[in-house]
Amino acid sequence: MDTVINWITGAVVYGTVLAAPALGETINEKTGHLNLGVPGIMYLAGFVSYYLVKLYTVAGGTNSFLIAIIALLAGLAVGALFGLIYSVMCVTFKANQNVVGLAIASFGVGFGKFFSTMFDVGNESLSDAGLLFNSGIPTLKELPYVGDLLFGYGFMTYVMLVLLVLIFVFFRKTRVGLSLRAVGESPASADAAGINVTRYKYLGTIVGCGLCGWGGTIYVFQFSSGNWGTNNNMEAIGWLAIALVIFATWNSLNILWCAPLFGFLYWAFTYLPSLVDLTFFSGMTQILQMLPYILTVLILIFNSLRRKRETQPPAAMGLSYFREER
Amino acid sequence: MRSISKRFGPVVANLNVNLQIRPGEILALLGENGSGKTTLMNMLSGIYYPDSGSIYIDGEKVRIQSPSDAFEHGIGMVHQHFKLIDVFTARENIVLGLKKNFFLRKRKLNQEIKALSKRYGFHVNPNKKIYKMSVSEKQTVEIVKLLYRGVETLILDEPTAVLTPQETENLFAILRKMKEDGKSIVIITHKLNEVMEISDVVAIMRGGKLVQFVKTSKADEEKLADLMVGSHIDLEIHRSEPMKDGKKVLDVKELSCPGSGHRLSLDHVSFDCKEGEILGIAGVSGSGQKELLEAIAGLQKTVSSSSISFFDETGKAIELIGKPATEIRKLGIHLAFVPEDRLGMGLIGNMGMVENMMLRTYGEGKTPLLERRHPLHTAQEIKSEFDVKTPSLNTPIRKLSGGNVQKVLVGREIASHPKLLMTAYATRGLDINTSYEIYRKLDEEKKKGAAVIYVGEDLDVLLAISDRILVLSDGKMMGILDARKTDKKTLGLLMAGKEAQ
Repeated sequence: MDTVINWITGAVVYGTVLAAPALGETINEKTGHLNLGVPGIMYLAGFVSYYLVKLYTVAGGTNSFLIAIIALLAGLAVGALFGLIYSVMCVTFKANQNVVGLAIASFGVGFGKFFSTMFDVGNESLSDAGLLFNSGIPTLKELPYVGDLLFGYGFMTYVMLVLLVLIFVFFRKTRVGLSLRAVGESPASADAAGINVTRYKYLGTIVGCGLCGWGGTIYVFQFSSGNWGTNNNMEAIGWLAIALVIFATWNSLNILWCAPLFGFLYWAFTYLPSLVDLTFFSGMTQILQMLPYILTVLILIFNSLRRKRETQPPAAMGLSYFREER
Repeated sequence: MRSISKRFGPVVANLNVNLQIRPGEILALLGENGSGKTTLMNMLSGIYYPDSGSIYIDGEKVRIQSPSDAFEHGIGMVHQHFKLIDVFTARENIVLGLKKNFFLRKRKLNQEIKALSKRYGFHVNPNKKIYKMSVSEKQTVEIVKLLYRGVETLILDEPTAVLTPQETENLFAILRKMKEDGKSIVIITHKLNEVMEISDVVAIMRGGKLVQFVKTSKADEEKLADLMVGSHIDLEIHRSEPMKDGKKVLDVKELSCPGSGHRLSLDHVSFDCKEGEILGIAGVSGSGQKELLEAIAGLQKTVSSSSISFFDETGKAIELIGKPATEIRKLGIHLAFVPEDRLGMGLIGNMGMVENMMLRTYGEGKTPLLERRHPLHTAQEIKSEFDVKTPSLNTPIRKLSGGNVQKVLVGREIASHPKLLMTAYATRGLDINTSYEIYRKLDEEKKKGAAVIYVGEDLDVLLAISDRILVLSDGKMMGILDARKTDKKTLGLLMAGKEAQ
């Protein structure tokens, strides 16, 4: 029983890390931008928020509220900055989105590694901050059975939960949301309807990339409990987040169950063998870790076969918009 | 609009154009493709910005830099390619981009749209998704979208190109109602009969300039056509008599093609085609014309009960279904399909004319190296016969204007003198002179004994050029009519899926 509970809670934490960049990428793609830079954005954002919190605590700061604010603002700011760079390149100068995205992916990871060596951050753990991001809801988490399962997570899990629902409502029910979707479906039509395409593309990209930055912050503080040394999984999560957007068919409400499901599959290599009491051959771990990707491929095939218009990617994704093109 | 000019690179699209639009009046903007009508109106609706010249509304100078500026001044345009978002509902498209309250109130918006529709006699379902709509429904949504924004000046770019005659009548009735309501309407067209029917005044454009501005009541079709082209042209399409006892070339039986879902895009179509005749195919676009031609050319999946027989010189029947497209081509069955974007089918934009000719001949020649002499010759022939304007035979064809690209596409198929020539929308977007040149060439091929299948949009042309006309409606065959004995009204009813009386 404990194994199952651990498996599920592990899945939810993993899902929280995934949900932020997946939500950010959904917003990006809804406005027509296939942003492949997610891993880079997460990595550098994760590093910057780790380093700033470290500077704060080394200087003797203990205010936990401030720690959370510093960490989250840093992640958001680094992400938004990347969003701005991406927008200038792809919206204003109409550069190829794939090239820019991949450049950001390797740039972010490279610079993150460069800075962590340069500032010699080492493997020191910010355990206070780590505890803060994993504290759970007081008293409620003491409840038997459901305590750990429902109320034992760090506050970002609940923040993401609310955000996923809010963004869903935003896209469905508000004028700004409708305009953002229109820009991603057909910028020419949006333009003809009087929407400022450039402005909305910048807006969607910067906000979306900001959320991708949060993915790095959540990874460092909630998933790794304040450790920078265990960042080797962050890139993989970045790529997985892009797959998750497809899996969730560009619907942020679907991320709500898809992200924990990915987490569940991801942890299969740890919990499954002990649960069924079987010794697998040695390569089993890697094969089990592939499950989320295999599932994404299957969903992609299924979606294409179904040919439902609503579950297809935004029609103008990946394309630059030139108003005077003939 | 006063002395408006606009260039695209080296091309002058508009030069010193002056135009006045008055309330309660329908203005027809007449001109051939490429004469600058659409560009001029795009500047009024904020898609383009003029290089020089200015726009005045009620005597006041205004700057229109974006479509939302245009809306603010009460100007809206229905573009030829609708600016609608497929996955959105009619309602979402209509209210898109308006800055009102933050949340979209579905019920209230639906009521507003219904009230507006009732006033002008539209039928719109605000909850219907655009991709489930017919072309005329989409057009209605576009018009409602403009009216919802309080537009006083409506510009319609070639609104009737995709409509059946009956739908056109409906549209015109609505336009007249809006005119009575005091709105100004500009209709961009190259169809002379429509100009005469609907407009109060007509402005004729040629080569980017406004050449004439007249009251419709003082004009006639002949005069307008001459002004539009700039020289006297003969509007008669020559139709030679079909070859007597021509042999059957093609026999299509129970041809069906799978469509999306359980629908058939082509539903049990049977007909034959003889040498020395032109078989016209009429239908609203997307009624299965493309599938029909592609099935014959071997490019389309068919349902198993279908059969297409082709008869060679000896009269031997050859079953075409299941044969690869290249073999069908070798039998002398050629297809020239002009899609909406013109470049989409059969030509490669980055290649020059010669290389595009070679796409058809690369398998010929005896050495492993490509044979270039013959295609070069064909390219030269097409260039001179169809008057293709290109700096050189090796200039990438994407740099040519749309009309010229099309001459290359259609010319290539006609120049190979096939036994069965299929053309679809061959004159889509071509100027009058070249169009008539192509009609003449098709008639020549027919006289030489080729069987010609002609898919077209313009019913007047279809009636004038064809010997028989097959009417398709939503993939079903509505009948084959004798082109000499039928009229537009009958065709229109059949195209709309109604049985002939």
